Amino acid sequence: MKNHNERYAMDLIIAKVKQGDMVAFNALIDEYKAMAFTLALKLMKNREDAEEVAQDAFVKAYKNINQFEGKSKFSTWLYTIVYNTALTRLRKKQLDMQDIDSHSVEGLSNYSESDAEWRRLQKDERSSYIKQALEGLVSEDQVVITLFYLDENSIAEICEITGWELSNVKVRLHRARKRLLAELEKLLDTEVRSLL
Amino acid sequence: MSKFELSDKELKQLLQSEGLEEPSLSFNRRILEQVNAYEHAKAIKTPLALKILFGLLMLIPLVFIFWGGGIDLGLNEALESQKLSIPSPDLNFQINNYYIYFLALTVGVIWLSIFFYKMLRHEDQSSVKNG
Repeated sequence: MKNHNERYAMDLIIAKVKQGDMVAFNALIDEYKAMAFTLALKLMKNREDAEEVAQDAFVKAYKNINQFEGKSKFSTWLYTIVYNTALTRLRKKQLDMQDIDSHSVEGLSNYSESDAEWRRLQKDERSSYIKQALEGLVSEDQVVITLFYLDENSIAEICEITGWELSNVKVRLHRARKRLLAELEKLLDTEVRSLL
Repeated sequence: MSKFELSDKELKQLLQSEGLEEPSLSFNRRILEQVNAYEHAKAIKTPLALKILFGLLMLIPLVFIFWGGGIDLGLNEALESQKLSIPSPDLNFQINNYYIYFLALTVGVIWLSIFFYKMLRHEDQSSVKNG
């Protein structure tokens, strides 16, 4: 029921934005800016660039709001724009995005005391480690983890946002999760060693 | 040698407790400024006289190149053989050919830059898919 109401409220806001209502558009920005910015940041690795990308994406969304027909969730449509804008910006900056598979999970899983250390850590500390571990992943892994776990997008929605094949998203998500845990384990192991 | 484990639910909780990154405080304002500027530009209509003037400026280099002697397409011979006569514009304003050529070149460059700008802008906008 709550979801239905939220969706209805969002439809109303979008209808108002289509009529050029700036207050409604401001509300729309407030609703999605954090996730749009986070997604851009995962790709750009730089707050200034990420902010520009997110801003450009919102402006593009406004200019093309009539192309949004409600076939998908507004968030999915917006994140698609954010993702494509970030990729275009990255291409312009001539950054090499071909290092997706350069990280290997081999040899990262045998840390004996990490699990126990993890259970001992306070919640705040855990979050900090998660953040560090996430930052240790490549952009594409960060994007898929962020979209799936943080914003709870479905696999199908991630396909729509990124333009990847369904099987590709599944494999990438699985690998990204493994790499995240491996990174986490590595960080914790370093922590344990430093304490000894 | 236990392998580090974390369930999907735990991972989700952890990531969500970490929260999302927040942009700067001026984020909304800057977007709204850009959108307002766009709306303002959309509302401004180019006067017809200006459009005509612009069109003429764009045509000058083409006229010069194809009729003014820049490129000989053999049109005159073709027209003569058909016994047709089309008045040819007299572009001799007693100005040095060098200046005419330079002017035509400048206008051509402007014309091309506008063309490419519009093409790139269109490409950028059309990258947004329907949703």
